[in-house]
Amino acid sequence: MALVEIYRSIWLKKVDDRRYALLRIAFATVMLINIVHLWPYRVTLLCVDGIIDPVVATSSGAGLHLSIFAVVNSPVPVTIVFIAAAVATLLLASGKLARPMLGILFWFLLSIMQRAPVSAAGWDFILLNLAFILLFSPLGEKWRPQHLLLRKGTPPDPQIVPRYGLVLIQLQVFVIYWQTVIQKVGDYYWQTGDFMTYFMLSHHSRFPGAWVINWQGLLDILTYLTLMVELAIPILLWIPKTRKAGLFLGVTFHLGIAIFGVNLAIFSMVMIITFLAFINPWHNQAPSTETQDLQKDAG
Amino acid sequence: MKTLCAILIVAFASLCAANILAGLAPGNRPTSTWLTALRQTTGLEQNWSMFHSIPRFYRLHVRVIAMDSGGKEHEFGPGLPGLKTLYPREHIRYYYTFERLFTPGGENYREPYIKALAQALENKNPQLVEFSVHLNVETTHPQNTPQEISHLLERIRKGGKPTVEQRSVFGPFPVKNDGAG
Repeated sequence: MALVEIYRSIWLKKVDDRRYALLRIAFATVMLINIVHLWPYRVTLLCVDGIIDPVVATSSGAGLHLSIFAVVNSPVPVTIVFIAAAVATLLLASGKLARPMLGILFWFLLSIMQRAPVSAAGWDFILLNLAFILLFSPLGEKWRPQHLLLRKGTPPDPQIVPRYGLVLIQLQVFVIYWQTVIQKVGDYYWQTGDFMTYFMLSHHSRFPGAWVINWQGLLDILTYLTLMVELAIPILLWIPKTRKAGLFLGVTFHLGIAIFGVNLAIFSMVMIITFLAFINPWHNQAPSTETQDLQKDAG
Repeated sequence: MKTLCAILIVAFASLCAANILAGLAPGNRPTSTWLTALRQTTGLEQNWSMFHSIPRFYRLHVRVIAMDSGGKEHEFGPGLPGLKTLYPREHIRYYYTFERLFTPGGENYREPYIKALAQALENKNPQLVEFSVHLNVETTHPQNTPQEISHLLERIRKGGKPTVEQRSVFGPFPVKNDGAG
């Protein structure tokens, strides 16, 4: 019986639906940016006469092959799919037909990754993962961006909804950071502190050049600091008292990656939106039933 | 109905959470094909290896050099359709694509790409007889071992260039036959 209560508490504890709405709007925004980023690649990577052979793409990987681009494979129809996906992001952000729109975006992401697996970037996997979790989570559909971000219009009454979607995203954030640290600590260049020097020399660096040699001591410190920051972010975000510090550290860390790295801005944006699963900007104005629920939990 | 809904939510969330947390389990445990398929399809596969080691490349430039029947060279871009010039530094997905196509393990994708290039070249100019794909890579360290790489910083300190240019040529492949290589 106690186990049932623990499970109830972990997954079904009530939260303000505006938290999901904020995540939904942020996800839709980053998805739109990702679609704009993918736009120049759509013919070269997704069409039948492009770089990637559709038969090989279909036979690679273990996933169930559901890519729309296996059927839609010439420039105009592919462009139409992109436009439809962009429209889906706008509808998702505005809360109109939110779940079907999320389903479309999940399918769109999966389709791209299955049609062009050799072209996939790290953030594609995180977006797909987020889309799947949100697909089965409350979405706070009644809340529009103008209500939450501009505080205009007549807002709906806040509702209380179970928090399982937020908890799953929180767990995912933990595993993303911690698994990457576990992999890095086994690597020679992370162990010696040289990683950041070599990163700054590589094509990923915004300012590559021999200047790094004069800053090697600082870059060594930054290498170790990166590992500590990646370990600390999810813990700080998890604990209510250190949440603001975690948010500050996480946002600063990813802004740093976006500024000093090339082509990593979308990755940073994706990680920053996952932090929304931890924060509750409305903790002082929770819906009455949530307050009751929280009191009941406390009691 | 409410109870059933709660049971479904708890079951779904518990399964997802178990899968996510398994990402921290030590070692590579073999998983069944259907489970791998399910994880890949739902995006719940846990492989977060971002920058787990140092990046090697500084710049990547891909060219297609074709020869006509008179022995004259013609240069094209590697982008299909249309043999367009691509810029992997500006467009990161082309970088990933060509890096993966032309490294060991990319043969499955490379062979049909070479065939498609042959077809595109034939359509572009029927006089072309053969072609090669030239990969110019500026790399910070050509040998990917710690002993070799440690010389890099020493080299830069002594005023050397931070990168070394490596050229790999794939081909020649015939334009008109099955040119898979």
